[in-house]
Amino acid sequence: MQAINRFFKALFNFIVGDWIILGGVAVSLLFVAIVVNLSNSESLKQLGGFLLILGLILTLVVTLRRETR
Amino acid sequence: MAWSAVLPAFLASLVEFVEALTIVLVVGVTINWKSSLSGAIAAILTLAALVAVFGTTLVAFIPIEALRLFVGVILVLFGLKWLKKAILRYSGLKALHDEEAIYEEEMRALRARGETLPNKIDGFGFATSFKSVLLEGLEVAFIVITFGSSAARTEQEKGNSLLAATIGALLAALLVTILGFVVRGPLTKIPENTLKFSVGIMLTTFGTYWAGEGLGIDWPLADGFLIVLVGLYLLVSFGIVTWLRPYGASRRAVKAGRSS
Repeated sequence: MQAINRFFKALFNFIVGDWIILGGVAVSLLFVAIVVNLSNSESLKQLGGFLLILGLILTLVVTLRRETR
Repeated sequence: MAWSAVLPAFLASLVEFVEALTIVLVVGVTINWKSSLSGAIAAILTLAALVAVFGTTLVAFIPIEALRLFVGVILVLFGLKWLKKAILRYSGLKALHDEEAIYEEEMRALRARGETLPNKIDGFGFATSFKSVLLEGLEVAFIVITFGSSAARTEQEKGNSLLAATIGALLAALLVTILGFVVRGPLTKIPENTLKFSVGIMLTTFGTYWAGEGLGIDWPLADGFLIVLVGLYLLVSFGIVTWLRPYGASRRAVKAGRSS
């Protein structure tokens, strides 16, 4: 069990190492996936790219904001 | 030739090769070149075997759209991580990653072990060189596979894109190796933070683009939107650095006050 935990911790640290970035990216992608795939409106689908970029920039700002404390 | 895979693979691999070569040079100079180079060659052979098995499997069995989304997400995570660190260093909230300091630290650690073995393979030297090349090489293999696979628009283009990304990585390897031989010391001349910042921008840009495509987004201007994304992320990053600089300055002032 400990070995599995250690493996996932090492994998997490290798790929991202930051829960805010991981959470922010996950939420952004989920939100955009819902907007793009479940929406019937073409204009909302076009908005998906903008929402994705905005979500990623917000994620970066939030994780950097934490470093100022 | 999928040129969109060559440049990002080249830049991303360059950073990894610089780190690997620093360790190989330290081992070569302080222990002996036989240990250092044999460790590096063993790692390269291990990597080649890994890429031959898993790389082919990955490319052959995973549908390109799903792969694009997957690697897009991974690249975004990698990119934001690198970008965050580079921004923190530029703003003064984190010390600049100093290759020279790493080199000196490695030198001290190796000298502390005492003897140097001119012609025999030293276990420590071999292992140090092996693990650093293997680790950095795995990252390069990851970069090559992700960039190569994702740059392809169709299944038929995958082979060409992988080849293009491999060429990018090989060019980076060649450049760093030549530099290593020319300088004959750690590659402290390359401003590491600038490289990491550029790679962070590239990874985030390509990650955003591919993840978006994987989700079904049709980007305006098609591939041309990559340039828009680069410009946008650069602009935002410089804005954030400007915003964070006063925090970095005040943190340095507090540290200076404590030490005096």
